Amino acid sequence: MKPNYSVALVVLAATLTAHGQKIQVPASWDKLAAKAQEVANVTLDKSMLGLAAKFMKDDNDQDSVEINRLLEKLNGIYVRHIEFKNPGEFTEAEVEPVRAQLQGPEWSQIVNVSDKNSKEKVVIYVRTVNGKSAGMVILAEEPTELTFVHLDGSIDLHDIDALSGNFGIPKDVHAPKANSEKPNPTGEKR
Amino acid sequence: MDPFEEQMKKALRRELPRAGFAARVRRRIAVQEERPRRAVWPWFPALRWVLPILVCLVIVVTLWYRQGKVERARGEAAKQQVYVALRLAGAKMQLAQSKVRQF
Repeated sequence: MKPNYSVALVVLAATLTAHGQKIQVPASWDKLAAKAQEVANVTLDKSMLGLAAKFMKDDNDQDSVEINRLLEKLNGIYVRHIEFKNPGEFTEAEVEPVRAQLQGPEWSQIVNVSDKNSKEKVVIYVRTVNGKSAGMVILAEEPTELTFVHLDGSIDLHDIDALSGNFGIPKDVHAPKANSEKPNPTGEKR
Repeated sequence: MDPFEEQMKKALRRELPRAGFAARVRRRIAVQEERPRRAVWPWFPALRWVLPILVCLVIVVTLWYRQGKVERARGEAAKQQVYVALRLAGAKMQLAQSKVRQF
């Protein structure tokens, strides 16, 4: 009997999907990085996050406590940030493969802002599995910057809210408090 | 023959050992062999294990220390990467927020 590799592949894919989804950044980004002025690559899987959390505990301040709480929920952090000297170094074609991976039923755009004058575009995607948040992706295109941030894990805007005021995270952007009377200030802009 | 040559001749002349020389040498050898040998570790016998144990301990502590150092470096690097990721995420959220406010 011939082994059915396609079934095995589907099972493997389903298993991988169940345990988190890594968004593949296209190889063309490596070529972009080669001509960039500044590049930031962050690849932290669960074990590395655990290690980072262990060393953050040593810092023993409020920020570290909040970050640790956030890290406990994450399975991975993946960042690609490319900064160019001149505008127009990348095209939409370079971003499209990333966007295409965020089109599945689990992904939804919660923020999509695009400014034609300044040529800036920021899209925030949230992944939801069985009604629970399972990740967040920020994809930002600016004339001289291209940024992809993937926070893989059961993180939502409330968690980011807890870090507000630090790391450039705005204070009042995100999730409405559970008993808040005010409407969500972010809204959805599509 | 001058006095120097005379002295040399006297000094270098063949002389037979005294009677019983060989027997005396054999007896002395026998006595020396009978004496107990001096131990390599004359003091407390357990101490002979101290040096190898100390060497092992030093090796283990050195390896542990180096491993800790590598672990610490990896941890610090991971921590910095977390900060970079959060800063970038924060900056882009800030950008999105400012755009939303503009609208």
